[in-house]
Amino acid sequence: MTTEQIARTATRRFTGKPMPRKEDDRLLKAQGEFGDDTPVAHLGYLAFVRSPYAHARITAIDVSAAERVDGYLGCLLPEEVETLTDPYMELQGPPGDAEVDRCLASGGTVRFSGEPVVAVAGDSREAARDAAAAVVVEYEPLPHVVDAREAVREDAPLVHPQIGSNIAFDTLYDWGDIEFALEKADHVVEVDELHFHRFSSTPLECSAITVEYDAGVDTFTFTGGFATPQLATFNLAVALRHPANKLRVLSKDFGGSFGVKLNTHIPATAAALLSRKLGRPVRWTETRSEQHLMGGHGNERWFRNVKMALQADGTVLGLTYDALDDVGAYTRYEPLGGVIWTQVANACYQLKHLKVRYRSVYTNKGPVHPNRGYSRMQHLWLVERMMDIAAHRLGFDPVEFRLHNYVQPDQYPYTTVNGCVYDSGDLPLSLRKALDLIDYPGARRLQKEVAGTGKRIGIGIGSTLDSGTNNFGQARLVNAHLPFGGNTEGGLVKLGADGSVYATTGGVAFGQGHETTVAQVVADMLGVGYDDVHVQRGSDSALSAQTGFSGSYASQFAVTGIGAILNATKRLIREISLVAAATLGCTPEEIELADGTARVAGDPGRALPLAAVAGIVHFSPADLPADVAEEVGLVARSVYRAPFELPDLERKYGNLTLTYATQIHACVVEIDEETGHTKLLRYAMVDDCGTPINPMVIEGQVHGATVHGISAALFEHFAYDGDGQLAAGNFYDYHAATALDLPSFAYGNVVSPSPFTPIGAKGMGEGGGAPLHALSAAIQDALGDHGMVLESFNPPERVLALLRGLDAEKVKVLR
Amino acid sequence: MKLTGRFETTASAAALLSLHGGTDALAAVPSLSEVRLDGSGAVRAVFTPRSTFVPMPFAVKVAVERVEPAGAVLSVHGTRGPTTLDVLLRLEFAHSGMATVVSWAADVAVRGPGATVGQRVVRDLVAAALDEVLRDTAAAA
Amino acid sequence: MTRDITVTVDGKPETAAAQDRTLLVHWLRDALDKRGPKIGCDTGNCGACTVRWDGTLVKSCMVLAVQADGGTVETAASLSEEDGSLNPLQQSFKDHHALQCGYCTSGMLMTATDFLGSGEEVTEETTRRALKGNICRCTGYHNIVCAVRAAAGERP
Repeated sequence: MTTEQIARTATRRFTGKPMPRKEDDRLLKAQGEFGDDTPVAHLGYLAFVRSPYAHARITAIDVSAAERVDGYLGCLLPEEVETLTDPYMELQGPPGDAEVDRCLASGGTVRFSGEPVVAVAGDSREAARDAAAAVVVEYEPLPHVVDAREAVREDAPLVHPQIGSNIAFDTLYDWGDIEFALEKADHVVEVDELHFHRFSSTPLECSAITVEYDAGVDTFTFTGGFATPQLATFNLAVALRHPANKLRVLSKDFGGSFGVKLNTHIPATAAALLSRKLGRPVRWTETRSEQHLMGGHGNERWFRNVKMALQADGTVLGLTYDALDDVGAYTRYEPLGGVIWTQVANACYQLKHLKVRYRSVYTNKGPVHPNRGYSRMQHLWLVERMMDIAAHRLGFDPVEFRLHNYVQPDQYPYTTVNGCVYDSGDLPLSLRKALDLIDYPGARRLQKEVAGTGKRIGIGIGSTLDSGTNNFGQARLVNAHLPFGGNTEGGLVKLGADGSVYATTGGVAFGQGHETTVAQVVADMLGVGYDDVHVQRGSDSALSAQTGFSGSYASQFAVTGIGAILNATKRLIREISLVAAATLGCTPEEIELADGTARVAGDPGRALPLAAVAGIVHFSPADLPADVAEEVGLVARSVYRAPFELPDLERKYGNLTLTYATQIHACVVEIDEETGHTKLLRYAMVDDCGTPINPMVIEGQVHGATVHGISAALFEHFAYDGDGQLAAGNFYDYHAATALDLPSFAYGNVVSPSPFTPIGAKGMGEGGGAPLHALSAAIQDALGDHGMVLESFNPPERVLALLRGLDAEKVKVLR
Repeated sequence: MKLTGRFETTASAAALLSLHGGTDALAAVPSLSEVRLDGSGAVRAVFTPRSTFVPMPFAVKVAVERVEPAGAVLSVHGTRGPTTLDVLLRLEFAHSGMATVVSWAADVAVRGPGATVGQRVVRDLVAAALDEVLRDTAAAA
Repeated sequence: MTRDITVTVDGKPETAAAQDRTLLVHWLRDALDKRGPKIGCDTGNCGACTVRWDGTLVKSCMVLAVQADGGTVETAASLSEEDGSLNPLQQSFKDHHALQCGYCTSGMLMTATDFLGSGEEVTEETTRRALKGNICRCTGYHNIVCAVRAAAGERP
């Protein structure tokens, strides 16, 4: 079946429609099963003893008082971990690969406040926590560093002394000729320094991991939130020195990941060691404070010496900057962020030149994990910020300036400075729709009307990309020796003995509705009802649906997950057709599937219900010709392979992602000059993610990503004090937006099908951080160019400072 | 964080300065228990401030860094579970009629959950606890 | 100290041991295996554990289990119709895609149920105010507000 045919069959009854979600009933009836919900007999509970110091040598550990706590079961010490495990793999090459990372502080040193030092088990949650509180650890404080700009100085304290510096990864990207452009351009705008702050999507369900070690078959079963189950299996296998086939990784319902639960294998290692040591199942249920200390922060990035070259007609030629990416104390998924941002090197614009020196820098802070919009939104924010600053300083209209520089609809597929291929889109139409949704002319009138009343109106535009379906070959740009290239996902579709349809995907859902979208496409292809397709909840590595890259991350499910399900369903259709043809006396090509039957096309009287097909295969194979009976098992497992080649490592050039969903946001804010409070008056987002599978699910993803961005821009900040203490360890000090903080949204969409994917859909969901861009721009618009918005986080105190002219001097128009 | 305080006591400066030699007087301070001298001559005790909402016993070690005729510098290290407290405490004693005016200035570092979770209250709690234990100790002198 | 307490939970009297310090949410989850109340924070901010206790909406992490001894608690598991189908509010959540991962949903439903029964006028503003103690990290609230208003017969 060709792509076109799949598209035709797949847009029949359910695909493309806002089908109600299959997940909802159990969740609405409090019958979901999340990480901490499952009762387990003889469960031991794990609590971590964590370092209060940002950097210190451990001089003594005394667990004797813990041993006297009622219900104490045992503990795991750093020295046991050093003996029993191998360090986790490092992705960076030398010298950064000298980092040693384990599930408990390694090498007798703690490197961030909140790092686990001892794991303690008790027969109840209370016993575990009481016992952990009784453990006495003595430390000798070491000098620490919490600011990446200080960490790169010669005399900075070293987070990992054996590396010789605090730089995990250092590279230069140089596409085009920015020096020439800066020399010849009509205008050059320079900004000393911009800062993208540290925050995270902070899923409402913190991590919960249950490990059961079965000594009889020497097998560990892990249940909990694993966003990439096969990568987790591989990491656990290496760390535990245990065969991957004797590790099973399960997820059931899963209360959000947004990327940060890609590194759950680290605490899971400690739980596994304790489970084996104690001979009983062990569960770790993370607390909110623990999630904030170590659950994964988003990348914090400094952009320094930023220069943009422009022509007098408003054409942007390119830009250059130095990036210091603060990855915290360990490179757990890093330094992949150092290349992943280049998927969107051009942002939404026709840039010709881009030069970036990029360094991943260790500090004594919580490690960063991939977080919704991972590494791309930082660069997208910088580019969008520079577009906005240039428009303000050079007097271009912010709308016309963007329209002029956007990649134009007739330019797709559009090749970026670094060889990435933007597949499709219509940015000018998206922007016009977004401006209509906020009544742009009306907002401009309102802006004039309120002038001088103590309030100010600001109007902001955020243009962004959500690149999806990674080419893992890009990892080789970080380290040429990494054995990664391309991307696959797996899917499995089968007919049960009664003819019921069952599907499972290698992807792992944590709210995106995979059970729903999988059922939509499978039902359409098999000609059965939507309710007739049963989809596996969560994931199970033992079901063999997965490939090494399986999981939900990098905005790819609509391409890779659905692509694999389409391929598996095609394979199942072939098997059904073989059986039906043999039974009905026709060729397999004459069989079509409709109304729950396999029938001869054009002769609906000759039909076999799917239950009869299954019955023959499972219980009466003697009715079938031998070659059919031997080929057909009614279990179809396929992969989807994304069509990628390895990038050119010399030029750092090649296609790094398959699809580019776009989002254009526009908003109107009101700023109170007395309090600095920013109130959202109108907020609109226009999304384009190609051919929709379920438009309701897409709109929900857009809403969610929008609020993550708004909340990050105005409320959320993982700030550290000078002592390396996190100042946002709970939802008091880390304010996740509530319903009352937000307006209703105006949503619109544009459909630009991807020419590169099975049904024209693009991965989406991360959203590219558009609200951060839009709100920075809106606040700038309210200020005029009095103060300059050079920070992504703008709480009232910063807005007040901006109203007094903050950072105006850091922006210079050189000509 | 930097904290300061001042109060009057009827004890003389000499009586106050003599406190560090023995543990008997300190044992009489209501918020201190298990008072002893360790091998290095530092005072070890369990300090349970009265200013907290629920009892929060800290294991503390108090070392005298410097003694002057009219004052002293102490270093205090306290731990409670994963929270640690480090205080460099400067005391100055001044005669004022029958009384001694004790002025104190503390440079305090709180680490762990006390800092991360307790940041909104920790300043007030530490200031109250220091004031309370110093007054009580002076009263015991 | 540990002692047995008895609480009528979702219409059924339940007796189980509780320590003095045990929070109601832990007792409901650990002693009774109730899945309605969830734990999303340590500080009473997130609302995932919201239940009704003797008719009053509470965050069950802010109540000691022993306080509820002899009382009545309703969790989200009590909301469905007698035949197990979705009640109108639950159905409205489904129709409006007012849940994604579902972790906040039980608490959100309890708060919305209480709000809709309060007699207060159901507007966008009052709905948002009523829901402000319940954090959702997936939906952005827009669809939840729509679902609650629709359940009250409003056309948002």
